[in-house]
Amino acid sequence: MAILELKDVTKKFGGLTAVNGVCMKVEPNQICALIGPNGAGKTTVFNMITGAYQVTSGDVIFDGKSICGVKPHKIVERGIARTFQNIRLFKSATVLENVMTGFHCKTKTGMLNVIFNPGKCRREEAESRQKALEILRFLNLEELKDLPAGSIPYGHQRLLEIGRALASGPKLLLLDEPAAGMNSQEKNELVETIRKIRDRYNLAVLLVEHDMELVMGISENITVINFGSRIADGTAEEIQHNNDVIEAYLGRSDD
Amino acid sequence: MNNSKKAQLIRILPAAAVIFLIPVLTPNMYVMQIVNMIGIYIILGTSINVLTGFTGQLSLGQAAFFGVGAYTTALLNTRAGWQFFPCLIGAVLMTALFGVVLAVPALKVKGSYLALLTMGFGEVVRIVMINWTPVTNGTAGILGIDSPVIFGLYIDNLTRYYFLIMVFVILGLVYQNVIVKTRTGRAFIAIREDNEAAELTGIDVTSYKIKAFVLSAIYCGVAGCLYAMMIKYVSPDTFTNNISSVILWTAIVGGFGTVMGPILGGVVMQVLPEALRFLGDWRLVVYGGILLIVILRFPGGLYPYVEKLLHLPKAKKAGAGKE
Amino acid sequence: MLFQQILNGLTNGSLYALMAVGVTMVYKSLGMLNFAHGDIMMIGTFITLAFVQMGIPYYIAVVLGILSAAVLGFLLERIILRKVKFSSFVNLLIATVGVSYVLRNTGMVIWGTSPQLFPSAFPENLIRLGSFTITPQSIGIIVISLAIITGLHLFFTRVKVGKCMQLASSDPEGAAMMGVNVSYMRFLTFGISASLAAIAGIMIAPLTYARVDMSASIGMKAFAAAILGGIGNLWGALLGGVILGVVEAVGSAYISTAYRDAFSFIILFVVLFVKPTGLLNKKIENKL
Repeated sequence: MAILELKDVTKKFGGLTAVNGVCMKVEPNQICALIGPNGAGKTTVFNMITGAYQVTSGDVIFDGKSICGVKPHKIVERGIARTFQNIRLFKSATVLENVMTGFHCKTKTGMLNVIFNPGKCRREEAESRQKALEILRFLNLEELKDLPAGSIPYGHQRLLEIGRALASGPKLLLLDEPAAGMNSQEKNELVETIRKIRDRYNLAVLLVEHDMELVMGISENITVINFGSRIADGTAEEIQHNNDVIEAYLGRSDD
Repeated sequence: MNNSKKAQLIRILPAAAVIFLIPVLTPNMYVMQIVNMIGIYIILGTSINVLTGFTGQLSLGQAAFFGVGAYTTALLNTRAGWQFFPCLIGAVLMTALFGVVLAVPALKVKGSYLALLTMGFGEVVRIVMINWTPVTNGTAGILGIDSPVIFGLYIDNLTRYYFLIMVFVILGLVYQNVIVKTRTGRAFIAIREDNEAAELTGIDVTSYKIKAFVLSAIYCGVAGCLYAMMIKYVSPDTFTNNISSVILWTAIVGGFGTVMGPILGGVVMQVLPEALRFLGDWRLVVYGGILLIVILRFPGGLYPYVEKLLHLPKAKKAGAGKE
Repeated sequence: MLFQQILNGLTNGSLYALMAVGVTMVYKSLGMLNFAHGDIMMIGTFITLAFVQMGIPYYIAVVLGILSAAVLGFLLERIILRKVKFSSFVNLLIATVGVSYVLRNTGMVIWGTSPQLFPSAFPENLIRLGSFTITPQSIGIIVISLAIITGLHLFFTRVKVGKCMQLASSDPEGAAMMGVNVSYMRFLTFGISASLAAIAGIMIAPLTYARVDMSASIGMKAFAAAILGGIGNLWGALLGGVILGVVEAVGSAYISTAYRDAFSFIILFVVLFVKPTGLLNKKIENKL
């Protein structure tokens, strides 16, 4: 059974249709990509999956249940985590604190526990810290743990966002242009990291990315959308030979 | 482990010494009253530090919570004859309720609008205090509030009252310092840094904003209760917009979002007007002017500078230890 | 009775509108509310009163009062707001609150807290129109306010300096590229906003007496009116001011006089809750 399934998903803003009847599936443990020319509606699809936007019609099924109308933080709790196109870390908090914030939905202690059950608090806190350090070690960010997140190099900030997302224990990780602003060496490392993450955390990855080489190299399944509609779906090889896709991308240079 | 406990002790002991020395060194009751007001303002400064400093929700209406706490105490004591602890619980519950009342519309707005909304809330509460005469006794206020009696001990002079206030100052600061390092505190800070990213990291932003308002209101409620039982009189004149500004400044002057900021802010904000008494009527003008300069010159508050000063010798010590 | 109340409401409402226009102008240029707006009005009004009491002819005193408010607006922009780092929204806002605190306390020291009679430019007699009455003062206030707001509209749409000011507020980078001196335009915006506040204060003081605490109550109403109409919008400010004035007059006549000042806040809460963008604005402003 697919971990994520979009059924005929449509999003309208006023009279404008941003996404039109898109269908797609992500299987467990699969690395998938959603591609399309600029303004095709990729980020809108992401926003609907994470609950930031309400779908106008259609349905989003995650792990066997519809997540339409579920609040964004509840969707995170169910197992979808994401990163952002323009990095959105909690800049003045430290690297470690950013990842620990990601554990929010996995932990429980509240404001009153601090007073009435400090032991439980301390235990949970130590556990969060331990797990956060593990993630940082895994991403090779451990040395930076006490620096403010906003002060570390750009590439590391991107990784840190992934780390924060991993903390919530997702079954599906959405990466919004993870390679933006990276050089080719960093991109190669990123591909390795994404594979490692998938294997180690046993999750599915769906990414939106402009770098075709990266997409073709990593994705097991690719969905292409243009003007809000799906125009192709298949493996990298199938996509590369699909006439509609070639037209959509080449047609872009005409205007 | 042992070492860190030792370090904690080294930090706590001088603080405890200072707390016990203050009443000994205080020359008269007039100064004692100022010292007690500093304590109350440290609690108020903490209230806005939690709400604005950590959660990023600006409030210009803290005087309303302060007032609700004070009036609740005054009414429960003078009308129902309740003693200190029941009054305190009443004040806490009532201000928590008001915290929710303000939080609900506040969820929808931010920035200037939030400042305006909270300021308007403060004004409405004050208008009700003035006009709901059967309950609040209007502009005349409520007189004749009893001194607290705690476990049979009459807290009937300002020195005893000082220790009562200090208990709450310490509890308040400790709670603040603990909470910011827990899950709740991280959620607050995440909301301050990036509202939407916080929601998409799994934080229920709506509920945590309400929690921040309620927690902030409760701090004010405690301060209000302590104030009412110390001064033994409440009137609408005490809970104006001016006081809301002073509460906000208490946290800002100290340094927003720093754990020790409210202490420094409380001292500066209460001592300054007394130090300026020689200016007569003009003292509040100069007071405002000085604060304005502080805000302009030290946008991060004074605490980071003080911290630097204090840490200099410490840093040397650490270096010496290595050798 | 109802019609009479509406008429009274229109008089106050057009004054709130005049204040709201100034609030809106500064909001557009700064991206935030100027919490010292009401205090600038109060100071302008009292300076006028001081000049009148010194025996200076009324109209000259009025001009001097307006000018001194304008100078105050200039100073606020030059000395204070420019110094605060623009990145820090909270500090900027608190700086205006600080200025408000200083001005209000200055007012209290110089002029005390008791209300003072303020001379009116208009004759005192009543004009009867059937069953209701109107004073020349009300007519004067409504006409002058309308004229000023219309004039401002023309200034912003027809006159070059006005257009530049609009552009500098809505798109500072674009304006700078086109050779507009953006900082000078902001300077002017503050001056005009402050003058409008003083004009409103001078017209409202004969109705309510001149009192130092008018800065808070009327300042808040100006914010409420500006937000109700849709901030950044001249006609919205007019609409918001008028609605506020009428609701307040009708509400205090039929519900409670004591809670007169609370009506504007209740309207404010409702607007912020239901439609924070105001009546005339559609797009959500992403300014803080």
